[in-house]
Amino acid sequence: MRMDVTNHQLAVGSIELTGVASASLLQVGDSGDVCLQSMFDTPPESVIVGPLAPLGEPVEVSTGPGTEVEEPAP
Amino acid sequence: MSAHPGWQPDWPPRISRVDRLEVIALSYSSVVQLGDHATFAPRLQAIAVQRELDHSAAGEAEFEAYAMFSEPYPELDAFAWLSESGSGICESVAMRRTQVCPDIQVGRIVTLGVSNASLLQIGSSGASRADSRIKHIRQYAPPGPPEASPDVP
Repeated sequence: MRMDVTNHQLAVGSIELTGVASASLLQVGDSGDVCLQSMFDTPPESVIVGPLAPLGEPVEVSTGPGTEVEEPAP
Repeated sequence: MSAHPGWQPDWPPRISRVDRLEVIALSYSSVVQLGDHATFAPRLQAIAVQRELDHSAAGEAEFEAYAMFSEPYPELDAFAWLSESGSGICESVAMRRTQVCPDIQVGRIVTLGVSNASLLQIGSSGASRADSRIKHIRQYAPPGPPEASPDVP
């Protein structure tokens, strides 16, 4: 497929916004390709009402970032 | 998300003109850029904990305890989806740009903040790849009289 894009005049008077947050982009210009990804997790069960015990221990250390991953035996 | 080899566009990027830019705060792997770039790939991981005890008394939070920090994102490739969906639209997409007007004009940009792996750019770019992962946990004591000592093993 071939896509032809013709950019004519673009003039904006004023941009007012509260914020640019969580893997977002505000750009005045041209761009090649953009891939922005964000996860935000605050489910109801993330509210812990009870004894002030420690938070969860690491359970997936072997797959966590920054840890060694063992190669499966052939 | 593969690394971009460098910015070599076969189209002329336009010149960006902004008369006035106001930003109050900039934080957490964010950038305000005046100019062009080839690649931009910020990454943020955060555990936002609100609780009554501090970390020295109740222990640290660990990224490895939550699967969302190690889960891969789905590959986002719209062109590949078009070619696999049986529509026969494309095997690949060739995009050609014609710039009639050589510049983009903005009078004024006002924002409170740029935060969490974000970008405010006056200029053109090659590839932008941002990744933000935030886990929010609220940990409160049960209602009633306060405990004499925290139950920390």
